[in-house]
Amino acid sequence: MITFKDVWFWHEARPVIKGASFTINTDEKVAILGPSGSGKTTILKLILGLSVADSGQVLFDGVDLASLNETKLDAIRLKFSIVFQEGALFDSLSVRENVAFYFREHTRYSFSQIEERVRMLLKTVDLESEAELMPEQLSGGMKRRVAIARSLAVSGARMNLYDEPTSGLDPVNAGIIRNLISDAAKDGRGFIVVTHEIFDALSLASRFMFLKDGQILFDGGRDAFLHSQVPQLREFLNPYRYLLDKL
Amino acid sequence: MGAFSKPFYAQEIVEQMNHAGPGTLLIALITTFVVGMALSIQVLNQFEGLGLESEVGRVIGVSVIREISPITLALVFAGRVGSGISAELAAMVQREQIDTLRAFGVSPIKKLVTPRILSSLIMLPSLTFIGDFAAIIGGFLITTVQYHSDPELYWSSIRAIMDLKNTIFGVSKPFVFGYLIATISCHVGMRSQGGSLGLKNAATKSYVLSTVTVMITDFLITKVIWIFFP
Repeated sequence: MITFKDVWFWHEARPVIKGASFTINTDEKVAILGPSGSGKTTILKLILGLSVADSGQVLFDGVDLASLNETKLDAIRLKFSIVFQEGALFDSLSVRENVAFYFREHTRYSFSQIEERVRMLLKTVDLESEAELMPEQLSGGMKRRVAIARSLAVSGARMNLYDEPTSGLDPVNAGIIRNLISDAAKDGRGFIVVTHEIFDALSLASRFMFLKDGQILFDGGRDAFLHSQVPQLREFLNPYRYLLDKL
Repeated sequence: MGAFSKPFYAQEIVEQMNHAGPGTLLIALITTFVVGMALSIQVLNQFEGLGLESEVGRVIGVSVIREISPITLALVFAGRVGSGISAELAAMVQREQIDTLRAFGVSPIKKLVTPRILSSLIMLPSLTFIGDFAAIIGGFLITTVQYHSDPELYWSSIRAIMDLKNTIFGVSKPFVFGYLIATISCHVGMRSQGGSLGLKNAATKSYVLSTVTVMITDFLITKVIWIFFP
């Protein structure tokens, strides 16, 4: 369980997160929406302890992340898997090596065991034949799929985190990514999707949080989200209102 | 000292050594060889009229081993390897690859920084050692071919300077410079911000900081060695 208690985070004298408080169970399917620069990605980094709150507490299963050293934080981080925006694949490693990264770092699997698991993960994202390509040889959609395969390797993860997973992709590739995110949650893992794509959020999540200028202005279910009276959220949804009314 | 605790990334160290060493060798050979030739012209022109030709090899050897080769190769290393390290790490920061490492429970310090420091600690002294020879041979060619000096005189004066003090100069400086260049370059790269301008700034900043630090440290090491070995 992730708990934020009045979390503030500043970057270069500017408050990025302003007093965020919420609790998310690791089996929940959550979408964090908001315009660009609203602090969505920062929330993911705070959850992973990649950024440290300037005040307030970020807790995982009741443990304050600020009280942990890097070794203990690493153990917490491996309770999650993350796909950063645009994949964040390691440039110097091939597709196969990127997907094998977790196994090489954290398991004692033999070479052939790793190869077998990598092959299966690449099959899951339909990229078996691209195993030997380097990241710069991949399209944007392929990079996200490799990043998802790499994240699925984290066997102990209880929750998957996605940062703008479909941003900049064509509708076909965006659909493929959405299906992969849904499939990855079938084993009981929850997920948090950070996005500004409303229809991605609606097709994936059951809980919606709306963030603007570092403040969580809405946190609730689908119907409440669609019919919220929060002015900033209504303004955010207005361009899509015609389509949303047809849902 | 956490940077040098387990796990060790031997493959990364070998890869970094391969980049820093063989990749820089040709530049190291050319620069030190040419500097050795230029130095010998200067020395010969000063010594010729004074009847000190027998001391030419000695002066060239001492200058090369104590100052010219360590400094020249530190500058080459800072430009080719150090700036590359900064730009590479800065790109990894910007593309969230450093965050990805940490999210996967892997220390970027142990995985990226330590191999680059260890590689520099090994490769800059090695390159300097090779550069010493290249500069001395450059000096030899000018001395014997252009100025027709006795080759044996040159080599005997070079052999005469192979003592403890010169060995300490020759080993300590590149070792310290290698550590400083790698540490500065990694630090600047890991703390970079902001797009392609950030990459440019990281490469430039690491080179400038490295060269200034190397120059100041060179003076300090020289001073310290002279205190202990007057």
